[in-house]
Amino acid sequence: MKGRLGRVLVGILGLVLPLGVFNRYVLYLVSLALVYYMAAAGTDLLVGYTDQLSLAGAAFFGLGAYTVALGSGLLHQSWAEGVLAAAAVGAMGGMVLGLPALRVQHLSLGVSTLAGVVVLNTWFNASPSFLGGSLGGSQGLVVPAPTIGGHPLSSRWLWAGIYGSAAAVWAVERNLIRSQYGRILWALKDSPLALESLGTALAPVKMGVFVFSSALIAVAGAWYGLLSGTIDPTVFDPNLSITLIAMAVIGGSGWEMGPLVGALFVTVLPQVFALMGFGPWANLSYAIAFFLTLRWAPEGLGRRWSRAWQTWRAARIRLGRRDVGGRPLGGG
Amino acid sequence: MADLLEVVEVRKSYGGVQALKSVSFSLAAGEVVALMGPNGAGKTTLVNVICGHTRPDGGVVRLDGRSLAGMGPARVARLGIARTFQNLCLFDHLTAVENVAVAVGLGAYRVSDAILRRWAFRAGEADILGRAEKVLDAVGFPPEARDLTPPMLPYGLRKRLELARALARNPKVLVLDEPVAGMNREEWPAIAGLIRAVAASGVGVLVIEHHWPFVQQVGQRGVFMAHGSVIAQGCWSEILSPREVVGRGLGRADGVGAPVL
Ligand SMILES: Nc1ncnc2c1ncn2[C@@H]1O[C@H](COP(=O)(O)OP(=O)(O)OP(=O)(O)O)[C@@H](O)[C@H]1O
Ligand SMILES: [Mg+2]
Repeated sequence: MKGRLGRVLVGILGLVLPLGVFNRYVLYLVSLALVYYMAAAGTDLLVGYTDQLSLAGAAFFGLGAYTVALGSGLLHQSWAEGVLAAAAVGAMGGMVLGLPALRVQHLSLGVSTLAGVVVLNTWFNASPSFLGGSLGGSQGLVVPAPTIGGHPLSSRWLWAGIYGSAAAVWAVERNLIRSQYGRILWALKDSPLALESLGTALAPVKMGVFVFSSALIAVAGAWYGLLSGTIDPTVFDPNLSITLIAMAVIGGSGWEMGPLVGALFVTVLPQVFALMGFGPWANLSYAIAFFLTLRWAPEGLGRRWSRAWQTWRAARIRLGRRDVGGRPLGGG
Repeated sequence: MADLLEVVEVRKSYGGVQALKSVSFSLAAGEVVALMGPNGAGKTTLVNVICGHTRPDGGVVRLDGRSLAGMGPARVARLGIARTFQNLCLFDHLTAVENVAVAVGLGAYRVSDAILRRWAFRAGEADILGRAEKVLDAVGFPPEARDLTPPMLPYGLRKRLELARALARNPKVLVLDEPVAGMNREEWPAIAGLIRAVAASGVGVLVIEHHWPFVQQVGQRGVFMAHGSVIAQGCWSEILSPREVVGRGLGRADGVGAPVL
């Protein structure tokens, strides 16, 4: 209970403090970081746990952005309906892409999902209309400013919306990971063979993760559209797919804060460097951080910490390592 | 009484290697059968076929008279066969108790219960972890090591943990691929006692093991394999003397040293 109260307090502080401290530009920047956090959280679930190197992230991000733009432009949806519609479109897209993705592995999955992003990019560039609505081609679309009761939302209210959405994503992922379903995900990552032998079929688990992850990334895309006000086919940016994976890797799986750390690192740090006049250092620092995490904490910063704690505990209990394998263990 | 597990004329080749050449045997409820044979005899291949990890080229495996043909490992596991692995397959990022909790299975609560932290989640979680702890206690796993991950555990405890994970499935048939390999000899009697107790509760246990003294402690019956074929099976006294077993390279006199073959 105490822990929960603390989290609520930190949560309120996180919401209010930026409003008082940051100017509009910085507020936009942290809003953007939270948008990427949501996408990184979705990516982390998929890439971090199922070992499926999907580069489809930008496809769902773009679909989410276009869904909210078309929804409010054509169907006069509210921003909330637009975000929910994006989640639904993302989930459906995840189902469509998930079926073939379950059949291929690693590199071929990466290549085929990346191809999907490029195809969508090209298609949205070339197609002026779809189902009677304008897609804007390479010009893109204007996302009508979100309103409440007819009044446009200020950047502060937009921040509050994004913050609330990100907090919800955080809570969902945290509660999911800290449950039997989270244990199943870790088991899937560590030994699919053993997980199967315990009666859990792998395909439904992987499919579920794919769909869930795609929906999260599409929600992030929808907020991106609302935040930037205009979108164009560059939302289907293959680089974004890779950046999302970088965010997930830097923070690491199994730690709710992982994707947040990764997102802040990738979006805010380069800006900080640029402001300080070290523009060229931004990319370098990013590369160095990436290298260091892979070198010292390949399972991510969060797990690195818990591993250190485990070692300390094991040393204190002293279970005695008398028995070591008597012969090499082959076969299996 | 019909046998619990029947393996009938199972064949499997890898390229030119005939890992299994028409293997048949059966296992009754409450019985411990030891499967023995030199390295490369095809024991692990047979386990993989029984558990659905490997599809046989021919023959059939039946559980309670029902053919398991075409079923994947998850299906087979849900029908009541649990196994351990020759080279440990533990979940290294999960603590010991969480490793066992995975085996207790889904179904205690739904995803939405977990996400919304509903009451069903709390009750289900308490139930799952409580059951996992009980199974760990049953295999003699020290309570103070429950929240350590497998890489932090000594080898013997890892073996026990994997055994606990399989037992947590409440299987009808338990298949143990070399349960004491790499373990201290002092721990053998405890593991043997455990296996006998499991069998006494009505589970059919198939133990793959090289070490003749250990096998004699647990098994009532032996199946000897070499080069993919069963060359002898029956009660100890009916088939071979211990000296023959060791002399013909079908088992090892003790737990240390190089393999006999
Ligand atoms: N996946 C595979 N691909 C190719 N050959 C295999 C495969 N699995 C097993 N074999 C071969 O089948 C034969 C039987 O192997 P298996 O692992 O079943 O023996 P084993 O009796 O378990 O031996 P050990 O005592 O060393 O565990 C060996 O010749 C092995 O090389
Ligand atoms: Mg083997």
